[in-house]
Amino acid sequence: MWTQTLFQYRLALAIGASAAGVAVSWMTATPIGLVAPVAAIFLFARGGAVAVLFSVLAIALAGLVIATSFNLGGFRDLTLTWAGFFVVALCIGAIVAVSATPGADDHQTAIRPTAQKVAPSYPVTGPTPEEKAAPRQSPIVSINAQDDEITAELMLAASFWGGSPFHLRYWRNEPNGNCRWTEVRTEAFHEQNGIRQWASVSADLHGQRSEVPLPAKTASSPPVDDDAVIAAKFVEQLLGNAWAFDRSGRPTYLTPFAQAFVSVTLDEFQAAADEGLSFFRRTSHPDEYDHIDAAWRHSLRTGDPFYIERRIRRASGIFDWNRTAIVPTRDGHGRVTGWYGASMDLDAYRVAELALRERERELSQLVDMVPSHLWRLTPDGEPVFYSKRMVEYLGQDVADADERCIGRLEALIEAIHPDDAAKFRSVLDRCLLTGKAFSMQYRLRRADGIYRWMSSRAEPMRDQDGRIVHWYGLCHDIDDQMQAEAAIRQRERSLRQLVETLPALIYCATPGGEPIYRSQTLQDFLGLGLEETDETDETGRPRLAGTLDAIIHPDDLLTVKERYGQSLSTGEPYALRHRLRRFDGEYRWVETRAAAMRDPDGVIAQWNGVCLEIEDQVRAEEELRQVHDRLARASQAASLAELSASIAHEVNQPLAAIVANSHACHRWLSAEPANVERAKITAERIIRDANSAADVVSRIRALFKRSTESRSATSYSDIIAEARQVMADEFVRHSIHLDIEVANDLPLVKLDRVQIQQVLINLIRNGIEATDSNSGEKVLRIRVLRDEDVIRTEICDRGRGIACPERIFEPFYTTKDRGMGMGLAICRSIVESHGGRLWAQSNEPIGTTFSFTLPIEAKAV
Amino acid sequence: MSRRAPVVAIVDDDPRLIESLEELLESAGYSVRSFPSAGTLMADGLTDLDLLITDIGLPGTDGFELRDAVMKARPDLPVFLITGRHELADQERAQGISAFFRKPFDARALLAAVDDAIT
Repeated sequence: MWTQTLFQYRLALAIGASAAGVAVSWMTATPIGLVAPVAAIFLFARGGAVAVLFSVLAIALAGLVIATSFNLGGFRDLTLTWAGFFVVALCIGAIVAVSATPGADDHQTAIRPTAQKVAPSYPVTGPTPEEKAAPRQSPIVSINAQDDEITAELMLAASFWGGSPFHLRYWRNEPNGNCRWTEVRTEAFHEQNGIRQWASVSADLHGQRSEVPLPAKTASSPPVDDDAVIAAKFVEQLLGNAWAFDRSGRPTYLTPFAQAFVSVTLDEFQAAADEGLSFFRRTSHPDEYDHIDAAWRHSLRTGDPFYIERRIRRASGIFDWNRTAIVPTRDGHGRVTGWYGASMDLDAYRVAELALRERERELSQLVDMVPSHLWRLTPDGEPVFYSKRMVEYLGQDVADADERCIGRLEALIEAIHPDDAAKFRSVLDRCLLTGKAFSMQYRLRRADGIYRWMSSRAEPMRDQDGRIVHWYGLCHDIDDQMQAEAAIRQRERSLRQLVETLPALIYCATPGGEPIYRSQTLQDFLGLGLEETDETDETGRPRLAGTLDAIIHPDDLLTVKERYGQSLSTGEPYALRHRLRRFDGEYRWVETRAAAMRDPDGVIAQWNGVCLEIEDQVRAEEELRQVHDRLARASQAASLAELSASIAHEVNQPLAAIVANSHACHRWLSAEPANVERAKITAERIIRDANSAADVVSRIRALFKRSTESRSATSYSDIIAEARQVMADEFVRHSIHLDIEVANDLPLVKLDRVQIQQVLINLIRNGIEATDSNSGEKVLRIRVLRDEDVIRTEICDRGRGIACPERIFEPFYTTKDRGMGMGLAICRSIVESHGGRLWAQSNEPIGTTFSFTLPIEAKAV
Repeated sequence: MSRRAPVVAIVDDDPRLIESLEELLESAGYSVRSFPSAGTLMADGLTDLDLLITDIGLPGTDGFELRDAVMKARPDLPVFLITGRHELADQERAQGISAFFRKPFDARALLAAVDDAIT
């Protein structure tokens, strides 16, 4: 046993003894004291070093003995003394070396102190200290205990040279002198650059050690000495693993390592061979035995060398891949005399190869399964690889072009739609030249002749020097997408066509009203598109204002801006008739309607508007209205004529009677003699008929007399609004802007709604007609305000004005060609019947203001 | 020999006018027969009449029709039309008729015309 204290003790002892020896030697001037350091050296020397020490001492002794014998140099005493010293040193060294060597009688010294050297490589098995004490055999194969170290080293060498996994269980010496049953697994790893590394794991299995000893087997090789065995032994020296066979394939020699490796002894192998089974029966994987056996028998029969890669069952029962090579030995006549061979571990390669194959399979599966075409080109653009899907799609592989004796790229371009081929070629050429990524959409012909749209991209892979090694490409079928897009485009086009061919002028505007779209018809109509109306015009006005100013009739502009602005601010639909300037400068009547398009949150996204040209309609309406007006005026005139005829007849009857009677009366009185009686009668009749005529007039007055019974408390603002509504069309038709201002604090007034509306309408119509005659600004202004105890209404026109403001209220006074001159008279009579006043005054510089008042406390006349 | 007074027939639906015309014509020495309608006149007969003055606006047969009828029966009988409705006088069928008086008519002119027509 080797303990730290013992070691320290020995070291101290050795140093102390050496020092004492050297001191004695110096003091006595004899070498005898040097024996102590020599002994100390021997105490620590091991194996070869001991031999070297012995050799050095022996040589020195021999040299001194010779020198003494021949008395060389006349130092006979001195040499004799030194020779004596060396004899003593040799003896002391021998004693110390023997006592320091592990002895069978002492467990503590039986374990070699060089634990670090032995621990990682101790062989397959090892003895417990108890087992070591007793003669023993290895638990797996009966290798002599002394061979353990050799076996372990052979296995290490095999692992190192062959790259095989190194796997063994062994007794590990503990510093406290105990041993632990330990397993170590060491695997070789091959890096890409070829450097091998070993990774080692060891585990303490002490608790798992079976109490039942493994069956003991004895590995032995008989002293056969044929060529095969000799060859096998050479192999063994190289690999630590070798076999020899006789001519029939019966094993004749197996190295202990070979036997230990598979835990099968030579005897067992031979027994199997004697039963007619081949050598491989005991160690082959069951799945492989038949074909290995067949190959082995074939080699035995023909003399062919036997090379095979197979799985071998190791002592642990695990199968490892290895390569087995067995070649024949031949005699001088070429006859096979025997076989020898060995196996080398391939497991790491096979595992790596399998993994590699698996990865390759996965990669190629990936390439094949990706629902796209993958392709690879040389730096010159020559296709070298198409993925499976691409091959299936094209109906040709890369190499098919070679058979047709055309370039591979040409063969690919052949499959591209003729309309796209030239572009494909030029784009690809440019990419190949510049090394920039390729990207293009084109139609590619499928095997069935149908072209489908593809989106293709390729990028170059470069080496470390930046040279392009390959181009890798991806080609994705986007036909469905293209079809869908085409369908969308088609729909968009047809929608646009719909919009463009609708017999209407269509536009869109931002939520702020800025125009963003004008249909072609609208652009044609206006003679300008959006681009011609910049954000701001030369005067710096915003585009909207500039546009409106440019295209809306000046007379309508105010109304348009007002209404459009109102719609923009409230989001209410917009509808207005106005005149729009055509490209040739002519203004045409249009009806514009616009509505807000809102997003899901209800926010206005844009305004969509339609503008219908209604020039013809307006003209037709105008004409119709004029006809209507003429008819109305005619019928008015006719009924007036009728009325006046009736009145005239009613009045003329009594008048005629009066005239005739007067004349008769005159004649009766003028007669000789005067007929007074008859004159009286006729005079009475004259009085009667005159009264009758007065009655007629009274009756007519009664006919026109207005009643006050229909009066009720009414909101005057409502009446104004109604009148405005009734006249709205007139304003539009005459392009007159109505500027109206109604006071808020108007009280209810008692009045005849219909009559007051008649007054308002009459005065507004007069105002419109007056304004219409003016070529200047067409505005009619209405003001309604409270003036103490009356409501005053002013209707102010910019017409030519009137010469005699008072005469116009006389009945039958008219300034119009066709008027009957009753309107203002009636108006005045209505207003006066309500207790108000109606008057007119001229404006400065032009126009007339008609004003009338209505008492807040309306009184019946 | 003393001539009998010329007989003037008057057709009018307004009694006041008949009265006043009777007064006027009688004051001038004519004999007057009055009828409220054309029918009553025709029923009475035209035989001894020297002149007919008729209103145009009459219930039933109007003045124009009466004149036409009288022209057939007695083409020689002068017929004067009078009317209070001036528009009737403007009508086409009234054109060319000289003996046409609008109410209120000039009494002097009427008497002169009557006298002129009878003699």
